[in-house]
Amino acid sequence: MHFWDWLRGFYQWGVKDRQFSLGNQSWQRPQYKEPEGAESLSKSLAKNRARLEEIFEIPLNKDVVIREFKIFTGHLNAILIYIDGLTDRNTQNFAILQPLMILEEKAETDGEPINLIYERLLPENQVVKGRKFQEIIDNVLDGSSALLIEGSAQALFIETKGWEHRGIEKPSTEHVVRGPQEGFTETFRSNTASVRRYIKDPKLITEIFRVGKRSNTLVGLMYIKDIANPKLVEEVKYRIQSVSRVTDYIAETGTLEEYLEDHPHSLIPQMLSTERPDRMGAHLREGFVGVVMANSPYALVIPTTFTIFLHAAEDYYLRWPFGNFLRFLRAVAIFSALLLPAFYIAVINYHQEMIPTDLLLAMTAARESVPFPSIIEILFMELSFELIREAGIRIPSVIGPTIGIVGALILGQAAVTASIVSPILIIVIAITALSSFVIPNYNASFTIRLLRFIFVMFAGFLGFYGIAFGIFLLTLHMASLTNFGVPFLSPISPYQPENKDRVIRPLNFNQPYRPVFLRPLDWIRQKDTARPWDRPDAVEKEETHPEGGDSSSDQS
Amino acid sequence: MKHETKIGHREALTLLVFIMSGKVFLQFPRDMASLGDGSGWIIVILTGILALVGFSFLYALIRRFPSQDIIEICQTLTGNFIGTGAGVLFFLFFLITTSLFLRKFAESFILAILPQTPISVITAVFLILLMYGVFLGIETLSRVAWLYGPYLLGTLIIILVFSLPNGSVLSLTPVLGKGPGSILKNSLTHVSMFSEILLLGLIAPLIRDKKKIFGVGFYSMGIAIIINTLVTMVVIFVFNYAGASEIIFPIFQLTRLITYGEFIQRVESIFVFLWFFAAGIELSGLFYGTVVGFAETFRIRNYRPLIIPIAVICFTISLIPPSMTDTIILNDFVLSKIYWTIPFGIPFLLWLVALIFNKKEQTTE
Repeated sequence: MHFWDWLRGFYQWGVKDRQFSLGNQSWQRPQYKEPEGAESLSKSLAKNRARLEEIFEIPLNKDVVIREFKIFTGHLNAILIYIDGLTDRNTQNFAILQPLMILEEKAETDGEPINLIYERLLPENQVVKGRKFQEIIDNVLDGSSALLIEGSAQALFIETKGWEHRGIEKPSTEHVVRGPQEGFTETFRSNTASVRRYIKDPKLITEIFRVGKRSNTLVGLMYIKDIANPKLVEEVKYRIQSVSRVTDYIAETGTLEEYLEDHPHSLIPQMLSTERPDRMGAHLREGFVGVVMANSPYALVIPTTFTIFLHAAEDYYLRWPFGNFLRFLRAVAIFSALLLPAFYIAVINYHQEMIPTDLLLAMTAARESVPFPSIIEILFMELSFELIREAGIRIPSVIGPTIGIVGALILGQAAVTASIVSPILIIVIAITALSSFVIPNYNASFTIRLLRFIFVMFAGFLGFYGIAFGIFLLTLHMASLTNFGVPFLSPISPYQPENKDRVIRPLNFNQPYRPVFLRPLDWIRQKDTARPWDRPDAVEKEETHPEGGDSSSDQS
Repeated sequence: MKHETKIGHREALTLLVFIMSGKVFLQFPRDMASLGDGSGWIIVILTGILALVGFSFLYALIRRFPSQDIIEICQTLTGNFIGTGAGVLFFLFFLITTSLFLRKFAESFILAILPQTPISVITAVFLILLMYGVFLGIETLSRVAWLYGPYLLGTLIIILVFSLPNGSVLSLTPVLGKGPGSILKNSLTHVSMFSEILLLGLIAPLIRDKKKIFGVGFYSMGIAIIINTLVTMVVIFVFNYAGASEIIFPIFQLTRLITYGEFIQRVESIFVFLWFFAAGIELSGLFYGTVVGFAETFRIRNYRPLIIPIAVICFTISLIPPSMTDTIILNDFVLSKIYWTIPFGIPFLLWLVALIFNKKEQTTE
């Protein structure tokens, strides 16, 4: 029975994927319900304290601190509960304890004591009232301090976050020469603030969720409200919320990505993970949705299309010809990283007539002493190179360079001298390796590394026929993918004439429209007349929306 | 399943162009050269005009029933019995076209790049591709067609342009070939060279913008006529008609002859990619027609379970002709004489029926 169910599902391919689409505004996800029945605080401080000790396992758990003290000249008992190490000692001493214990005599003593404290006695920028135990748990674990007083069923959460953290540093995988040099860090608030520094727009929304029953990690959903398609935002929100209470532990955006993406089995990455706030900002202003997460220096941009993996942050910071030169170089690099070893195998094994005669003679002479078939050779060398690459990350940095040199020497010079591989093959592998480092995205470069082996196999079996087969298969696969209702190959296919930033980037001021495939609320990025002195005749003309945009953009 | 997806008009157009022009990589220019001598390309133009007339009936029929495909129209108009019979004819047309094209492409790959490989391996590998493509659906197929279209067309044009120095104007003579009468006769009998337009009948209800269906059919035929004519012309221009009718894969031969300086020579292995992608798109379109034709005829709601059985049938049929020559004779000289009845004849009759009984789809608009 299991098999038949599987088979039935298998033949429903393509039907279930299309349930969600950006075009179909009437289609609704089920509403997410917040879990109900959270326990409320009682008026007795002793009861609250006992319950908190039970929750936090106080005598056993040495991280949680409960500080008892008396306020209103000893009339009222109070406790301050916080986690040692997550809070800032100075704030607690001078902004909470000092005013409450020393300065409170100057305050008038009538009215509800908790309101008095809230209004007059806490010189702190963020103080929030709460009535539930769950709120105490969340806030205390986030690094706030909770203040509870006798006779009140309310608690005050005072922002005292202050743990040791890494400062903002240069991004480690997305370097640029020209452009901002800062990356995301592990601190949630500094990440959201970084993005906001690029988009100083009141409509930039940050919604906050917690994912993981145990990890309770903060996840921030960022989008610009009057640009991003509400359907897209709703879908991302729906998926995050559905995941949040089901799974127990999500530490990093990498894990979250796996939970959210449409085709987890595919080799093709479906979300852009970036370390650069400027890159995220640039995507948000086009109508994409961003996800930042506490403890993760990588943010996600949703949804992603194929062309984004060809782009780097620097393309737009450089002048137009230079940026395009890089784009072109990158396109070539993708092809050589993906296909060069396979081409080599195919030519050596099946299509020798393609090689000029002199080169063919030289290659044959070099290969004469090599005892293996060329496919074994190339797999051996590729594997060795992958080993160097992986080892380069794990080796302690002190001996790293040594190992690198040793590895390169052994694999390059010695392997040739020992007649295990031919010298031409070393060149092929070297070019491939260089090319694969040109690819600006870490995930995409993984995809290409893995696909390269598959293509080598295809080429080994059937030569150019096999390579063509592989390319066609890959294209079919990519054309069938949709991410959050957006076809993966847009704007190339389905074709959107409004968006010209595919492989070659147009001039900035020649791109009046936002990506049509995202169906943004506001199509116009800038007026056609961004440089009015260039086209004085166009200044008078009112801007128009792209005509027939709905019919040409292609999601069903 | 039936109308589960929508496709854009650009994508549909490219797919149809590929389906009608894919044959230029095979024996098509050769056939034309042997049919009409120097006038082979005139035959293509005349045939194209005739096929446009045939297409107009198909379109007139589609226009009366905008939300149904050709087989459904058939069943609405003529009832279950005749409708199913016509559906089976459509299915057989697509099945045999797919199988024989598959065979011819496989033979061409053997001839060009893989002389030692058994034909069954090549056919089977290709069928895997077709099965995957049809499994993903027409939306994906047409998108891939659109993705490759401009590049393949560009490569073809480069090949044609680079071959020009090898030809001479005298090769195009005699311009009228075997005479005007022969040209007309051959144009009439070979109208089936554009019979693959039938696929439009199947995908018309899926095209998002209903107003553009006519444009899709008309322009795709127009582009296909231009491509087919140009290729035939260049082949005759380079090899002259006597030479061209001796060559089994004229475009491949054209590519082999391209030599510019020391570096650009023997590029035919690269040309294999162009060939493969064109074949892949054409055949997956035809295979889609086969599978969906069967599903529609017998009112099967999800066509995907049919893919593997029909692929096996295709594989078997493609291996029936004992040799490549037999395949070519069967396809280009026997079947092509009767093919035109299916995409042009049946819609014409159906259109007459619809006209006489004044049947039209009840639209809410």
